[in-house]
Amino acid sequence: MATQILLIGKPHSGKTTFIGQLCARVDANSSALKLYKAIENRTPIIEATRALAKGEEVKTTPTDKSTVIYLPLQNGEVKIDLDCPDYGGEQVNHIIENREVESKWADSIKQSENWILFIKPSDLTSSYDLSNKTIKPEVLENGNGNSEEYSVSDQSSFIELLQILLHTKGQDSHFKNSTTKLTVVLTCWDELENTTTPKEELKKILPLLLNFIETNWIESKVNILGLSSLGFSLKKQGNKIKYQESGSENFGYMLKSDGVKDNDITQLILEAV
Amino acid sequence: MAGKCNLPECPAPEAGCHLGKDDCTQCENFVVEAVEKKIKKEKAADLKKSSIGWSGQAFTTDELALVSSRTSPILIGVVGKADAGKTTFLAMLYTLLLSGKKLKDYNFAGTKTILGWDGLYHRLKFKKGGVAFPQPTPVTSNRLYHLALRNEEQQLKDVLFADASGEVFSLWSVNRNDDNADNARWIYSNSNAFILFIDCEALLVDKNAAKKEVMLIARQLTHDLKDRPVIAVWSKTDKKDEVLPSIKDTLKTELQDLFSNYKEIEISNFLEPGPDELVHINNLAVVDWLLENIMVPSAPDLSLDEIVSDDLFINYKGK
Repeated sequence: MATQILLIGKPHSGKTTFIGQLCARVDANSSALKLYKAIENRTPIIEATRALAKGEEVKTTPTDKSTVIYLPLQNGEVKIDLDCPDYGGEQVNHIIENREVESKWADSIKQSENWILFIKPSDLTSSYDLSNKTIKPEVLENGNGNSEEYSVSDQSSFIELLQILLHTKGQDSHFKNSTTKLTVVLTCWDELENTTTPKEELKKILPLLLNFIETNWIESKVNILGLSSLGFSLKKQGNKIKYQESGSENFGYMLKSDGVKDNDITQLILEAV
Repeated sequence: MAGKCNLPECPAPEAGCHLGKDDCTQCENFVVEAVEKKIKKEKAADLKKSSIGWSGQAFTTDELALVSSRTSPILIGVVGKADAGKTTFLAMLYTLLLSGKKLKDYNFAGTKTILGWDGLYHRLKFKKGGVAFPQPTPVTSNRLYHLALRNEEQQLKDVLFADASGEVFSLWSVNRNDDNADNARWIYSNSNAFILFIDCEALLVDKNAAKKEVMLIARQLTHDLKDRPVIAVWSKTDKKDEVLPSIKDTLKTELQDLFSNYKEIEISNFLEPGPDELVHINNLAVVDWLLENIMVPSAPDLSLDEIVSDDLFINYKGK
């Protein structure tokens, strides 16, 4: 029986670009992974594949509908099914806001022992608060109880998402999770500056989420990786031409947990199982 | 157009209605059924959802079972008059955790009230040069904010902070049977420990009158306290230097005389330039001290007086 990987990410977290590049590599037979049967339905990613071949940035997947993608992958004798029950990512927001897990999602959560969570650091909202900015109280203009429209902070929503996933999985909170492997992938790594290892980066941007993960998973079941599916920005004309001439499958890289770069992004799937 | 005409000779919907109708669905022979059925079916599948079971907002006392079913939660009563900084303290606590600060002996294992906490954090953010600060807790509310913590031995501890309106504590401090002080009574009888707020700004403005308010609450805390820990938190300490020394000193002494399992600490919501202690360290130290003192098992009284008797049976001490 094939190993199931569940790929989760909010809208615009880089899932489409990764899967587009993953398919390009697998199709070109130039990576550690192969398909063990043809992909039944490429519709959700066909536009991405075509855009990448032209050296164009991938348009974000519409989030208003729940689109499913399923890739039957193989590494040697090991079969790995990559399951993304909510390709647009809208369900992730829906789960937190509406406090319900759709049955299709719940089934995927229960069946998979390998979860990949995509987080795009450059999209996170940063804000100043009283704990990180020095200001004299007399200088501070008191908002008198008025607050701008509230939306849940990125960090709290990732923590709540993982709490809901663990709850749906039936995890006993008295114990650390030792069965379901969690791989956190920090995407668009090439856009980040002054980076060291992916774990240090996660600690810098979402420290409470990292603390939550390390408190609820045993060490061997957590993996924190970096990913640049494109390798560089395709906004520059020169980079675009590279894609057109060499093929998109020759670009992109990932960072393993120790910070070592690997040019085969399909290794990410093998790291996650 | 999905659907079908009942007349076999009609090419609709692939081509126009042979009876000349512009819209074939308007023809009495045309049946639109497939689409509607399909949509209904999908909806039925969508409705099959499993509810998560917690709202993410602060608990009411009726929702305690969400954590009491898995551990015996520790309840910390946040006590003080209105506008003393009780809710802002909780907001700062979560804000500090979000920024990567940690409790001394515990890691963060989650919270069932994350949206409640996050709403408090939102009110400490800078927006257009101002900070909203949490709104006063309504008189009828008794909000419970939850933290799941795991210690070094990997044991799970559920901690709840009870945040009621300051007004009910003022009523309770005067008459602990006051009809409108239910929330204060509930917090008093169920809490494992207390944070008593001393508002430096009120001491500065209202002087002895403010001190008396603090002492009223403090004295009421003692009536059935047993050995439950109390930490007095001097809030808004950026104003403390301006408070009359006689008021500060006598209040300090009187509080020390009232409690045995006791400590006091100063906190602020405004960072000091350079190394900061009042915000980054002391807000968390409040919780550290309470947890340390709640977790201490009561000293077992195992020393027995030696029994002297002529009875051989009673004197028998084994081989």
